[in-house]
Amino acid sequence: MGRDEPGTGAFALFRRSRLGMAGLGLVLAFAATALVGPALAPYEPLDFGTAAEVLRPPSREHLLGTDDMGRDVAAALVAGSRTSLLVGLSATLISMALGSAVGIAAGWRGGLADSILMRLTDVFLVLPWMPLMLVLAALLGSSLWNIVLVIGLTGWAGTARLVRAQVLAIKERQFIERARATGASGARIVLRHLLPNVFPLIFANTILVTAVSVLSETTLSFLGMGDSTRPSWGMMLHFAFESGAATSGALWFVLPPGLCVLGLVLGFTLMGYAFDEILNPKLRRRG
Amino acid sequence: MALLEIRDLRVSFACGPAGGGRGRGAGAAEGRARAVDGASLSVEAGEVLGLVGESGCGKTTTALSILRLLPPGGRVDSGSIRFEGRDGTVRDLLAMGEAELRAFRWKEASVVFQGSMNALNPVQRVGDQIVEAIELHEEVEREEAVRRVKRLFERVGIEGSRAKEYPHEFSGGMRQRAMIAMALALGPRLVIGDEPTTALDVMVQAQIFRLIAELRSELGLSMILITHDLSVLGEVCDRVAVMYAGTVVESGSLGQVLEAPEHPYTRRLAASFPRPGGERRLPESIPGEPPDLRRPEPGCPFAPRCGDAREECRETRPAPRELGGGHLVSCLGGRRG
Repeated sequence: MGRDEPGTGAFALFRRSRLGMAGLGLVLAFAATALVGPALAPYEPLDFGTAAEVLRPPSREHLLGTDDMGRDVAAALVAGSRTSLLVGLSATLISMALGSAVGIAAGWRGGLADSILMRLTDVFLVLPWMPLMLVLAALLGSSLWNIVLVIGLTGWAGTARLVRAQVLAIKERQFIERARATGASGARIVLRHLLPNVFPLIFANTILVTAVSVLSETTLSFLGMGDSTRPSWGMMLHFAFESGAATSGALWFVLPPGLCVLGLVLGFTLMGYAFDEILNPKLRRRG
Repeated sequence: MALLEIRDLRVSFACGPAGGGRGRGAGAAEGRARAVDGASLSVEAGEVLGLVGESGCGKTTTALSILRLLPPGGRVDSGSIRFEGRDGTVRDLLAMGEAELRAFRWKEASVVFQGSMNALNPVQRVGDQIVEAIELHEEVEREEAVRRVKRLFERVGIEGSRAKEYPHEFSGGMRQRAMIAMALALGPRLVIGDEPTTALDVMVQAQIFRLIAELRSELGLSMILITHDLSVLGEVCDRVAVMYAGTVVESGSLGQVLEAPEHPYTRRLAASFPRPGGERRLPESIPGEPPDLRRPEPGCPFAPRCGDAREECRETRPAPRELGGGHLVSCLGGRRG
């Protein structure tokens, strides 16, 4: 029975999940930083310092030191959280919208439409997404919104499969037949009866996809495909790598962006697994 | 004419290659199973017709054909279903277009589904689901619709305030009552009950049947009550139609069919139910099994299991014979001991 009403008890259960709440805490901390951080930071993240300020270790003026161009690491880190969250969430929105639409259309229509949409999905599933993203990013040019588009367009296939499977299961339930018996049209049944029942799954999946999107953004930026006008953690790692910061012992330049990526991705993943466990009672521990 | 008249209805389902299961012989061709094979029945206004037969005999398929709600793969091959609307016009339901059909459903004929726990959307409030059904057919203010749902709830014995709850907060019996309330929401001329009490315990079953009996005397409802349980027929039905392998083998008043069954299948079916207060004996089963619907035989579908079958029975499909007083039986044999 618990499976039938995920909307009612899911958030109460989530609050009891310690790991899930830890993940939520991490994500909220980064979100708060992204929202108010840049206003509080005393330095502009893109302002070059004087020659004397290049690659300085943490000090009272620069809490996390400076990078190879004399820029304040802490300021870049704070600005980077904004980029990561913005790109991660926007790309996820595109992935989820596309994946849900394809999954619902395929599962609901069935037949030929299902076959065509699922073969398309298969193509996107087996395509090596990293080279695909690189090619697309190179073709489209590396503005922030292109990065969002590239990540969104390559990440929807898994969601489409998941949503389709759920639609196939719900479509056979009697309340769908009953809705049809009351004279509801197909579009109405999908919007009023099918979608609300698939939504919990889409929601839990969204959180996990966000983690992947954040990681993708970092990867693209690290490989030099990022938007150079927007500081991001991936770009910091890119410059740190190029300037040999790790080998020269300038760990204050390498570790903070790395740890931030880890923290944010971990936050989303912990939340995602907590929801997964709630929506999939087989994974739920007893007692 | 009668409120509803089904003539010689044939419905088939696409099915994979026969071979496994009950398929006779290997390599039988891929084809269609004739779920309903020439069924005819009628329902008069204000009458409750009991539709009985074992699982797979086509009861539900026949009933759902009225609303054109066949599952994927199902198709009406021939026949007619004529329905007399509120305004006295008679329409063939099989000739309706999509929009006309949507307007017909629930407004003229509604269904109380088998397992109502599954017939309600788990993530929508019960009251809202009934409001939705009302709004699909009538231009009403939302508040008026909500008031109507409250009255309907009270009529079927649920507190009006519980319309705000979700299906999982209801017990099985309450969900079935809510489903009945939904079926009555638009004042349809015909209500189809598809084994409405199957999943309920005996006490709740009795309550639901009492409710149905009350409602029909109060509202003059016409109903088709599908069941495989002969013992519930007497509680609410006026007439009974017995189905076997997709055809109606016998129909008539409750007394005609249950007290003086004429078709050998009806007799065997009646004998397989114990009678309270009757002589103490074990219920009898019927030897053999229903025919393979993928390979229709020319003769009487019951012939292979019938103790009285003659040569003729295996070759000619019997047409319904009127025995007087509306008692119809599709059997070539006369009365036999």
